[in-house]
Amino acid sequence: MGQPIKPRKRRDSLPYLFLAPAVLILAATLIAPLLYNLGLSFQQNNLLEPENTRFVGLQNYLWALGDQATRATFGLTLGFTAVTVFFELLLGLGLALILNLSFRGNRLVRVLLLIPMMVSEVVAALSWRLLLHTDFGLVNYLLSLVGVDRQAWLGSSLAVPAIMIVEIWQHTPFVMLILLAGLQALPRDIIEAGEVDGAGPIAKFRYIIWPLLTPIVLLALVFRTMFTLRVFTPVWVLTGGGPADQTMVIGVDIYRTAFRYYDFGKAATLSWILLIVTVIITLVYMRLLRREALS
Amino acid sequence: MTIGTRRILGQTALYGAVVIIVIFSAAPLFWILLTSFKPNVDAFGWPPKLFFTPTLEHYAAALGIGGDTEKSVLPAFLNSIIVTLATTFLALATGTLAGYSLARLKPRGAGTITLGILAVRMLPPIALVVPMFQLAHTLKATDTVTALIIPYTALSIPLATWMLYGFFLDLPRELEEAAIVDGCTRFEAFWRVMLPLAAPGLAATAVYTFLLPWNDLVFSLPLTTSNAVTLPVIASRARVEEGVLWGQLGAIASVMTIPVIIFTFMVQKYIIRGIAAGAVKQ
Repeated sequence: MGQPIKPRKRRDSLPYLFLAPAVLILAATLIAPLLYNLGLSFQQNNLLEPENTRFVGLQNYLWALGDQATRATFGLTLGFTAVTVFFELLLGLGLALILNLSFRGNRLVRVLLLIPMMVSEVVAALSWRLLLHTDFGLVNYLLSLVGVDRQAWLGSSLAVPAIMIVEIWQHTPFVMLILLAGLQALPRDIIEAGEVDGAGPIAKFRYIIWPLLTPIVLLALVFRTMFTLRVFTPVWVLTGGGPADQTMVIGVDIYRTAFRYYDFGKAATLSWILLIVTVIITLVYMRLLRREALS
Repeated sequence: MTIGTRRILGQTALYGAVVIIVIFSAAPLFWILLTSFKPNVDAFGWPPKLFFTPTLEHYAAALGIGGDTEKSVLPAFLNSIIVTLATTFLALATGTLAGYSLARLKPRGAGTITLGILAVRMLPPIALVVPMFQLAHTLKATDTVTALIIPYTALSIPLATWMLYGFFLDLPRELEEAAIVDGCTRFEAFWRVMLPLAAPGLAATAVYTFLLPWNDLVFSLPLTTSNAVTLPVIASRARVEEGVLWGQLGAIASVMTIPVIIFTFMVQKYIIRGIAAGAVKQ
């Protein structure tokens, strides 16, 4: 056996040359700033008091876990995410099941329903701000027709549910799309076998479709949980975190801490807490998915 | 009840449900589009009007025609276009190379690199805002389009790479091999044979990549103040003003939305590739 023929050097380096720009840009503009941010989170670092910048260890993290207002922010973010994602999954599943039926105009309806998730979150929030306007909003008008008084949707305790509705309106199509893809990838023969054995629509869903669809539902759940935990734009445009911090989610808190109070140390800390929670959720999901695959 | 009537009832219920869903889904955007054509009296009127004499005054005002050019959103519109085109081009160029490499050239550790790139996509952008701002501040680049193009490109690369990786995987390997047998170098085979074949994939990816820089507020809000503001920033600022001009705001929202709707129709069948990023089998 002779020596293996050495490939020409040029050919050898091509895969890495092609990868280099993408990897370098990602490393330089995402990974490096992220690590820099980690360093920042261990510092007292306020743009208004540069002379006081110093290393404080875990002090910012202890502050975040102990501070009453910040804990309220975490609580709201988690609660907001749980409720919103729950309804997105419920409605998304319903829509996917409907669109999985054959009817005329199905394809057009599918595209129409996708539009909310494609438009800017700014536009989505503005559209709803107009609908929810206290004085001339369509929602208050429709409610007045059935005898309900005008509500200050965004200036009262209704603000949280109002933002939830906007979020659900915009992102249910994402869940629908994933679940629809999942439904269409289900093995047809198993479902038909169930039909032959006399399973009604409910039994068919409960015992055949749902178990097969579970991994996809989990996928949608994780994606939406991750993306809702970081919610910023709808809250910013609709209420800016108010009234009286009632809608202060972590995304808006990061922004406010950094660009209103110029407290970059604490903003970096909040950013890293959000990041850590996101990573934990991803890992839990991968665990669940593996267990699903094994069972 | 006969089977026939039951089926007709079922179909009617189905169509009724579909119509209600479509109305609920479309109404908010339809309403703001409608408002952009309403004279101010009607935009602020009670009860809200569905029928009115349409006007283009809000679009004219937004473009600074025949009125206060100070309030024109034309510069923001141009910034949005510049940032979006530059981001799309850069993300597509780097994403094509990386996607091709991972799909076809199989560098050592391709699997790990692919996973790493996908993992980067899960990072919350809001968690990157602070270092991005500090970086731009240090380089004296805040309020420039460059300070937006760089993070948007980085955030778009994972998606572009992933989508193009999928498209390159789907192309027949034989064509590339034939080109190499015919004397092409590996690079020529990529440039002359594979890249033209991947054109539909490139187009779909471009459309998908355009969404982030065009729609985003998370980076554009802290990184710009006046010179480099994009349309989402302008639109979001209405919050702080007293007596929002809803007609004008509707016009800006419509200008932001219409290209998105057109593109949605163009790339509908590729959307699932983009959003599920490999987790759903194609």
